[in-house]
Amino acid sequence: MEISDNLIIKKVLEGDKEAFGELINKYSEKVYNLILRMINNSEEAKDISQKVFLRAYSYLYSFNPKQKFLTWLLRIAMNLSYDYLKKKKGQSFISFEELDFKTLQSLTQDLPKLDIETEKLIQNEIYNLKEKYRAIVILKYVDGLNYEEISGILNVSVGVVKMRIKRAKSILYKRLKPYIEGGEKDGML
Amino acid sequence: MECSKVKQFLFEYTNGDVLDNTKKLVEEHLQVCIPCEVQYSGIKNLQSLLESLMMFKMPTDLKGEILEKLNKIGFATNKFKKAIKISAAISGASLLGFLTYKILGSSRKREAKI
Repeated sequence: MEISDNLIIKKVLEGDKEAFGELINKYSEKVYNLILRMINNSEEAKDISQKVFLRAYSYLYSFNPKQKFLTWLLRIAMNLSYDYLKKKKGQSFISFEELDFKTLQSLTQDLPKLDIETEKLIQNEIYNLKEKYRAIVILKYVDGLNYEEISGILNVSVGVVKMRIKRAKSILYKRLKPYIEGGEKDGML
Repeated sequence: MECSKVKQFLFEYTNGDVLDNTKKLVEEHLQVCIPCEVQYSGIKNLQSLLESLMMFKMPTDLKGEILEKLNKIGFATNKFKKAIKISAAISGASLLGFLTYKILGSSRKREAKI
């Protein structure tokens, strides 16, 4: 039987540090993928994912058990991603790292649904979106969250979430139109 | 419903976020309008591409690395409690000093009167 997050958190707060490992096992993938696609850098994504869990541990006492732990955790992940992007914007030299999808896919045992070129194309277009739209697309389609959960993470109303999803998809649709409306779509899907 | 109106609703329609009334009107329009049907198929394709994006595994043993670092840090609440204890100790010491000064001061005055 799966132990509830609140029970694990209680154990951690009582001093059982190892219990925190259960939360890491459960959510590290979602945290890592959110950061990876937000900042487009696999090495930094790994470091920021660590920071997310360390910060969550430090501030675990302030977690409200009425909330969902994943929502709280992804909010920390999103804030740290924004901090990183803000810092990067301040640098005079901005390098654009293309994610190494071959390596990333090889580490993943699940069978990829899309080929590497398509993954790359979509990720580049997601990364080219404004941060507020990028965040929404990743939370909805990569992490698979619902409107209410996204609204809690981004601290905006459900109405704003829906509006941003529509706007983000409309931008992506325009940019990817030749691939999704034309003859190439069969090769992609 | 006109094409321009239908196109406004296509994203919500694909998400299932439209009222039954609108849903029916969009459905009827899509059956007879090829350009809108092409756009609708494109939006559906985009949706399935986004839903097919991969969930990548972490490249290293994140759990092990974090648990190792956890041993070096405590809860922020512990640090806070420690800070409160230190400030309480400082306040206590100051109060004690103040009381000692007052008591000694009044006993000296009494001695002087005698």
